[in-house]
Amino acid sequence: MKTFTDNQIKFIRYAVFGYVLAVLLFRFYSNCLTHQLQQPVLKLLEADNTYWLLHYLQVPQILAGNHWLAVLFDGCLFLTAILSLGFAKNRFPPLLFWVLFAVYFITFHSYFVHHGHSLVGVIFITIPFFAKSAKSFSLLFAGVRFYTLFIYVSAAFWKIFRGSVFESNQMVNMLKEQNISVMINNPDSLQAGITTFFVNHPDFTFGLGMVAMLLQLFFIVGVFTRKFDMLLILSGIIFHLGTYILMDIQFWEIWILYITLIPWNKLSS
Amino acid sequence: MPLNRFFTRFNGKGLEVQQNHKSVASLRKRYFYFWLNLRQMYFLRLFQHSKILFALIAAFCLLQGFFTYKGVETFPFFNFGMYSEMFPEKEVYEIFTIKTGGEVFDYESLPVIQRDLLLNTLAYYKIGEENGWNDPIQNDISNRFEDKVSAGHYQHIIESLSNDADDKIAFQQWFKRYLESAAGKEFEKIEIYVNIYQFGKSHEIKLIDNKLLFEI
Repeated sequence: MKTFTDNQIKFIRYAVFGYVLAVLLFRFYSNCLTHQLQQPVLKLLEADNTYWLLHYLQVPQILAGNHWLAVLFDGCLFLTAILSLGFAKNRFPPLLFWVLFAVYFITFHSYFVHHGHSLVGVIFITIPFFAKSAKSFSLLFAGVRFYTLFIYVSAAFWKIFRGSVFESNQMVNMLKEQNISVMINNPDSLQAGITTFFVNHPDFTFGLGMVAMLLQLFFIVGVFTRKFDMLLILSGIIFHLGTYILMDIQFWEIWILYITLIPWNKLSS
Repeated sequence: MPLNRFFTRFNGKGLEVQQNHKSVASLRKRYFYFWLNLRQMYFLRLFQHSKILFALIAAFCLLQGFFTYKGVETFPFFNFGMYSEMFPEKEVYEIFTIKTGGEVFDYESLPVIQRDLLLNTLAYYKIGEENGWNDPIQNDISNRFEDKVSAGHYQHIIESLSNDADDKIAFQQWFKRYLESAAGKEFEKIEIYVNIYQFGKSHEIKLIDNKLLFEI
């Protein structure tokens, strides 16, 4: 693992905060930024202590409950992301962005009443930009790469140890639950057609579930060598495209973590 | 790939590679140390560079391990099950139908996150109705804080962290507001139905019941 040069860090910064801006724009398009939530009511905190603390301090309530404050907050989110993109030597815009994004993350998921993980990538990949030196940045960036591997390998292990991947009807039942709505509301759509096919071919669907788990387990290779990192990116993209086509699970926001798998040293040399 | 070639290719720092290994036991032992070496390399470099950074990352790893072992999440320690929980075959499936001015609203045409926000909150509202608006989180709050903090403080915690019956009408009004912003137009009246479906023997879908959840 080599220390990145200033030029390489600059390119990584462009890639990361460029992607972050794309995520924020997509959230805006999806009507899901704080000011677009229309002062939500029901919340789900689960057993998450950080959610408890923030709600105890009334942060999400005040933020999401006040339209103009939320507009200001979302504006700051964009502004800090843009500043982080432009000011390569300054580590305070990324730090401020991280704090704001963490608040958005908790606020959004509280009122989304489901604690999803697609934004986790933004939370972790922006941390290395807090570093003072190139060496610290490189070590933190390598740490985020390990975290990316952990995400997929642990997902495969959860499937193995819970035994769900070996359950013959697991995938069929999952498809029915995820897609029954589209099968009823849009029966002529491509997704409804695909679902009907897989529900009617359970053995094939079981094999597909196994392939999905293997694509995740493949990330374990990255612990031993960086040689296959581009293949890991491909594996992750195939996995998420598959789950999107089959189950309408949108997870492209987590692809930001694949930036840690790009061989930046080779690219710039 | 034979193990000795493997070692040669991916030689970690500090690992001396000898090409003339013959014994499988010896290779296995080397493989084990090679793996250990790789695992330690990152933390070793981190430790050499900055003790504080090392301590922070080691603490993060330990806490992540703890929360993974416990199977719970506390931001920023996440568990990535990615649909690893068991999905048993259901007898019936509940689907929401949203009617605006008598017409069925096509929520499938919305961006996925926006659609999920509408459907997740509806499902959660329905659970609230079924529970008589007794939020299960109140039991956790009670276990942790009741008799340990003042009555006023306890009330603040309950109000901050849980939903109650007062949220019922407020939610319906919010739902109308959010749906109107999603559709880009105002609706005089919206009705939410819960349709109950069943898969037949040859996987055909049959509607077996239909209930009004609320109208506003």
